Amino acid sequence: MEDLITLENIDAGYNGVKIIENISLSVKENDFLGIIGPNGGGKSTLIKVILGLIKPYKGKLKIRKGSKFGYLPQFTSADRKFPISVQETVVSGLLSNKRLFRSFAKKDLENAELLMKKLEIFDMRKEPVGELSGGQMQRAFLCRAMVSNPDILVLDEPNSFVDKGTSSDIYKILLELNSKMAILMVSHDTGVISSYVKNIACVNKTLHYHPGSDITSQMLDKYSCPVELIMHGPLPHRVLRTHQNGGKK
Amino acid sequence: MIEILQYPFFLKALLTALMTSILCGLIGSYIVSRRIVFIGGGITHTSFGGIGLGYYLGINPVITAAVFGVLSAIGIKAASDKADIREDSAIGIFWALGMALGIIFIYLTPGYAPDLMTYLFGNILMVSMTDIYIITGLSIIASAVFYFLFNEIHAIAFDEEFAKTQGIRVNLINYTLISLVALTIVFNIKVVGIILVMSLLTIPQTAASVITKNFRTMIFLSIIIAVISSFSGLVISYYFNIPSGASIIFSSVVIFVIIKLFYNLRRKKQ
Repeated sequence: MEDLITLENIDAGYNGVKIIENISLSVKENDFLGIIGPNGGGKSTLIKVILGLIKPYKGKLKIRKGSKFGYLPQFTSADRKFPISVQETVVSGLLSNKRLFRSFAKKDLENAELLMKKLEIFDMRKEPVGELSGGQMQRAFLCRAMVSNPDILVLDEPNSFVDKGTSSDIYKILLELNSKMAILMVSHDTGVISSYVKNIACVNKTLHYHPGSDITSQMLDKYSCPVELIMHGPLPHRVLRTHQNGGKK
Repeated sequence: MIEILQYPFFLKALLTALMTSILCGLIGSYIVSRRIVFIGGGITHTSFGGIGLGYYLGINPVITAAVFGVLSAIGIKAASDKADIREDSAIGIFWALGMALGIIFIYLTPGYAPDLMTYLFGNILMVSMTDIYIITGLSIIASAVFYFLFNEIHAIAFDEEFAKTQGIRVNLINYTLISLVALTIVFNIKVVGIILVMSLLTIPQTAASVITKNFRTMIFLSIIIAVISSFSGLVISYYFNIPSGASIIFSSVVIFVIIKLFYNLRRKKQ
């Protein structure tokens, strides 16, 4: 089976400034890839290249033909005064399923309703999305990302603004979806990364791929992902999943 | 009141006002919610260069203005998308260039430009049947575009980057709409003039957005508010013998203020 996403020796950035360099990566079906790395290390740049939002300076990007994307941008810079309701926002995630000049399919709209109920934003579906709280808005945008049942779901910091309880609900939904689609998730939360993802990519200008989901401080040091930058606070404060191999700290 | 309805020129003005209101209600709602009012200003003033060129060449200035308007719209977008010039700077440059060209062409044209004032301040009573046909045609096109592409337009206006990831033809739709914006502006210059044209595209829409947060409702409401302000503006213009463009804008501002005060009072009571 052909890989879903293949990157070969990609250089990319903004305004001629290289932010990521010589990146090669492949993502298979049903992969759940956690993308970690320091701020400014190029995590968002990498996913924007994959999404086709930035053209790489160099290298080859291959996406399996006909693949649909779902995308949750980082802390949405959305105009909070823009006249759009929660429902309209969610449904705009169905545009990839819709033909031009046609209306949305009924089963798609039903799926939108179901997802809004699951993420507890159904009751506020008529309200302007800009008037929701940060957490509710984040859930509305998550709905928009998932609603089309994409082949590749790309999430840039899905847990920002969301409280702990909702956060674990979201991850439950993600694990469910993962049987149907590949997920790429940028996150600062290493605890979350190590308990949910299947593989890890550490991006700090270049990319280091780690099969499996255990994060060890040794691996972080070795691959120039400074531990203190990707974790909130000093190491002992954060409990990672127990390392079967004896825990190398 | 009844007697002015007997004059054909007044009926023609009412028809123009109706078509202009539909067109500006649609296009203006897009401009206001997308926050591209300043782009509209740039297009308006660049098209003055076209008016000058029309005089200089001895052809209908509206045609050359339309060409200038559309080219400046595309130019502003392309300059910020592709040439990496900040959008507001690009607007400033086009704005000034258009005005400068207009002045140069009018200066070079021998004789006096007789109805230059019409283009600066507008006169709905001077609108020809051809102008009415064009504005009506444009209203039909704009209505069709919004009817068939409503979801796409709405999504792109809200979050362009997301829309791109969904395989929507974002650039095609953006350039179509910005061209419609340019044509709307240019063909309304005769109605209210360069100096006032942006007001038809912003005041009714801003008033509508006080009442509703729904994009569809906002479009309908701004059309209604525009119709009321242009009809009442025309009547005021007739009875007080003042320029119609200015009186239309004046009544739309009055309506806006009334709506805003009413809603502020209502919110305080709640």
